[in-house]
Amino acid sequence: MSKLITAGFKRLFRLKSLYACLAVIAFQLIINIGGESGLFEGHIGVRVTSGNMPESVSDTMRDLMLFTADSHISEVSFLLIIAAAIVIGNLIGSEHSFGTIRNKLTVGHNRTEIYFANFIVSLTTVLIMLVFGWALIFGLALPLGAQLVSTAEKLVTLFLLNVLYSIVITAIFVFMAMNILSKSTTLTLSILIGGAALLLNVLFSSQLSQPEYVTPRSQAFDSEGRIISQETLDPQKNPMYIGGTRRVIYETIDTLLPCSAVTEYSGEVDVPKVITEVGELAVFTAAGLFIFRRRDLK
Amino acid sequence: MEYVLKTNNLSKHYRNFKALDKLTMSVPKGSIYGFVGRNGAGKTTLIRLICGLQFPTSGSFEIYGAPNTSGDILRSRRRMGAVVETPSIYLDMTAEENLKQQYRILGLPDFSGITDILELVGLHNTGKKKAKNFSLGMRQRLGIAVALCGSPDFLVLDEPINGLDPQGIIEIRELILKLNREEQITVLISSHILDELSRLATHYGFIDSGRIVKEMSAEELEQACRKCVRVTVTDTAALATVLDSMSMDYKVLDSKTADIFAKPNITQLTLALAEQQCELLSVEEHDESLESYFISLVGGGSNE
Repeated sequence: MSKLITAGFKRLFRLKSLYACLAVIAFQLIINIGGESGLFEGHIGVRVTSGNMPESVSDTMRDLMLFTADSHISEVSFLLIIAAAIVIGNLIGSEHSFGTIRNKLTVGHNRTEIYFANFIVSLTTVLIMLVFGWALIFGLALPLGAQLVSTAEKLVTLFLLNVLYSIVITAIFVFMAMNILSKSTTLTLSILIGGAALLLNVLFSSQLSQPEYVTPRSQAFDSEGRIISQETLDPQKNPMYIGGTRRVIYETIDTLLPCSAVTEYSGEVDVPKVITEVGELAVFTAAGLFIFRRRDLK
Repeated sequence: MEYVLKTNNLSKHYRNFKALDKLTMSVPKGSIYGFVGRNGAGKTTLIRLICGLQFPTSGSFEIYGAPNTSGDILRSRRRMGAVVETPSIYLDMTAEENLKQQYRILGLPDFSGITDILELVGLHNTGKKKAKNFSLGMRQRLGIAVALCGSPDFLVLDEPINGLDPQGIIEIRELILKLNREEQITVLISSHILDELSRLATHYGFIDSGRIVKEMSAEELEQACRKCVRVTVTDTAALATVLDSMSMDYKVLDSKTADIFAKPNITQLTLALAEQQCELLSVEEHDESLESYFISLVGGGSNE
């Protein structure tokens, strides 16, 4: 299998889509971090730190508006799923479209070896993009004055969750790329599934995070934004809150989404989500291998 | 005789369609085996099976004595090179890069043989030109070059001259002959272009509707397709005596008919037969081309 992995890496590092995806990740992070830091002041954003935060801003808003390195980690996780779909689709899809997968089988490599060699090369690709994204966040945000809110332990946990997430999305996209013989179909389906997973994750996490009750506050400000008076009203039922069977369905789907354990991480590891991800890894790898070992190739 | 490939009642069904139907054939070592059949006869299906791209529905095959069901088949396949349908090459790589990639797949650490292979197929001057900018003939030759990596003993070529111009056809033909004669590589070459195959093949397998209709050597085919004079006489035993005395090559077909593979002087033949109390009833020129021979094989009712 080492021969196939060596050949796979040689091919990977010639893949233009890998560099294109790294460039997109870099561009996105530079724009967002640069904008938040005030690097592009007057054009894109305003640097907000705990020192210049207006008094009227609530604590929740304060957390959201603060210029931190941590807040950009989920951006990498979001970009990673689409980037992985594109790179893996191209890497393995071209083996089918060029017919070069035949060169491996004809000279006596077995299908299990070919599957796992492609899995390892694809996983390395995704991990390279993940590490690149993280390195860029800390290499760019911290020198530009961003704060680091998370503890080292929390960051390590989040990184490990991202590694697990990378393994799972690799398993899903390798499953598709190895068993769909058309590169364009593989790419289209992978990107659609990746995009759908992201959209559903954003949709469900925002809806599920709604509190059941809300406590309205009434505030009055002077011309300089200082609070003159403040009144807390009685708690009221939140009309946006999702309950009952609908909540169970939403939670189940959200748990099944491979990105949710990472994007919804708030300091505590969601064990059911992690177990689900490990299950998805096992199911997609076993199913992918099972189908590929029996599949007629052209 | 030693065989590189043997198939035994090999079948491949796609739902209800029988692409191969109990096909039995043998490719002798050192031969150029012309695998002849119409489009859709099952040529590519057989090649896909022996290359491990697809699995037989029933039956079996052996490559260098290793049955397809045993793990040894993978070791036997290491002695094989193949071009199945279209050349399997990375279009975004140069010819040299393609060969290096195949060397890595084979686990060959030393790239020194690549120059020789490129020279052998006439692609040594392509430099940094990517395979996507190659002509069809160049791609075909690159496909063969990739198949030649690892010095295979058995080369499988599926329709290698399809779509090539006359010059390209000549180049591929000379290359195959060179590989067979100089490198002692056994070649299985499928084609429906009979005229081209007849310039190459030492053995033939005629396939129709997934079954081998006939296997024969080039000599046997030549005999079958030789120009001859078909004569009908009252006694072929007497005819044989006369023809032997004239040192003529012939073949007795039945008690009254025989083929003479020469142009006999009819007057002399009639007189000589008369001396043997044998009458010459009819004389007709008989000429069967490879195409008409093939049609007679596959066009008839029975393919047994």
